Amino acid sequence: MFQNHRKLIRYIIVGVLVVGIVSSVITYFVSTRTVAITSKNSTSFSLSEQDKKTSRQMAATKTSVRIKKGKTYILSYVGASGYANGEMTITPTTETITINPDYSTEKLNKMLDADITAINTTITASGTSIDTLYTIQRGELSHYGEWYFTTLMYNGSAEDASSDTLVVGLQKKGGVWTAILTPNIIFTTSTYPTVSRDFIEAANEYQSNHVSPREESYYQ
Amino acid sequence: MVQRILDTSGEAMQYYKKQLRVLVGAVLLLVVLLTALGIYNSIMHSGKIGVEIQAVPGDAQISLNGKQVSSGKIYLKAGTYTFTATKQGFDKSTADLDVSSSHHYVGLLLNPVSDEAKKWATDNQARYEKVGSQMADVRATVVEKENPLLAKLPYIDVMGPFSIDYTFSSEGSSTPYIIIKNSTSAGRVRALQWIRNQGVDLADLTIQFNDFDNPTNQGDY
Repeated sequence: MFQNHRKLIRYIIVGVLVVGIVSSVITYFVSTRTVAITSKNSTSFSLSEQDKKTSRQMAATKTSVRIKKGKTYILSYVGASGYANGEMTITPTTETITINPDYSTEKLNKMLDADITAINTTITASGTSIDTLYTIQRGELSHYGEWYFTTLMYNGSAEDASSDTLVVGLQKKGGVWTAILTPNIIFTTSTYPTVSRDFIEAANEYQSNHVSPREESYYQ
Repeated sequence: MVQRILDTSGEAMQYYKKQLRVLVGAVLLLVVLLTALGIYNSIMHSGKIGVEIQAVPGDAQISLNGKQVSSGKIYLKAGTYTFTATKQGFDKSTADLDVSSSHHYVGLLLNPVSDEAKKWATDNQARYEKVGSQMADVRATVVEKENPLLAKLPYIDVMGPFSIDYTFSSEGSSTPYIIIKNSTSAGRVRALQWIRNQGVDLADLTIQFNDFDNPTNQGDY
């Protein structure tokens, strides 16, 4: 009688454990999904759920990760030598993600040092009176050293009617720098229909981040 | 006598029951018909968008991509359509419409050419104005729905200083362009930042700076 009870209790415990494990496995697979990852020029990355501190470290060789459905994740990657570190967002609809870091700031700066004269010559030729009316600021290379954005600071009085700081966008094609976006306040796809949207957005972002002190926004 | 009264009331009861049965039957039939009509309509209009077409004069012949249609409401799948209205004595009126979930009205105003048509147009000016006004309202609603920024304009900031407004590139166009005016160079930077703060990507806009003359002569805003 007592033996039978012990056996029964054992069966119940095993049954509960089996049901628990099976339901946990099912819940895990139902509540998570896989995101494919392609990685290039990075050594490792970590994944953390948005607004949470804990993160999972992974080698760059990993080709997929399993994440909770409906959650947003931040993927932070470490660039290989000469490549930048960065972050990418995995939204609830992201199915694949490609880690392809831009060159590091250090490498881009070295490339800029080598090209700055050619760049400034191209900028000066992209409009009239640029060399007299404006001071060409040292800008930033991006997109593997093929994109360059900078500002032209007006030399005259801030009270002048058109004393705006202008932005200019250059692209390197076949080793030659070309002014794709000639000096202007802002750029739109309707005004520059042949220029890629990414390039225009990058130029506008540069404008947003490099407002001259005399035009500093009181909204900040 | 009592038997007769009972017989009569029994017959009356039978009669009322029959009437009630007929009434219930009719109501049920009506419900079934309405349901069937609703199902038919929803199947026929499934995935389609209702488009109201109005022409002035009202008896103009209307065609949709070359096929004749009548004025009033029709249902179309999303896509681009060309509506044309013709009537003797009037110029042809054509409208291209990108039918999407937010477009639902086509007004076709025919310009009078012959003397008779001109007289008709003068006598019926109110009809032109009514449809024209409805077209403008619909266009404004659609444009503001597609460009939430426009619903917030005009915006004036005297401290900026700047003011932002919008207009359309041409009569009948649904493509707005933003006008930044009454501004200094600092005001223009603030105006752009104000637009960004509304969650708008500046790359999507067409912007005209009324007070800015690009000294490098390269901008063509």
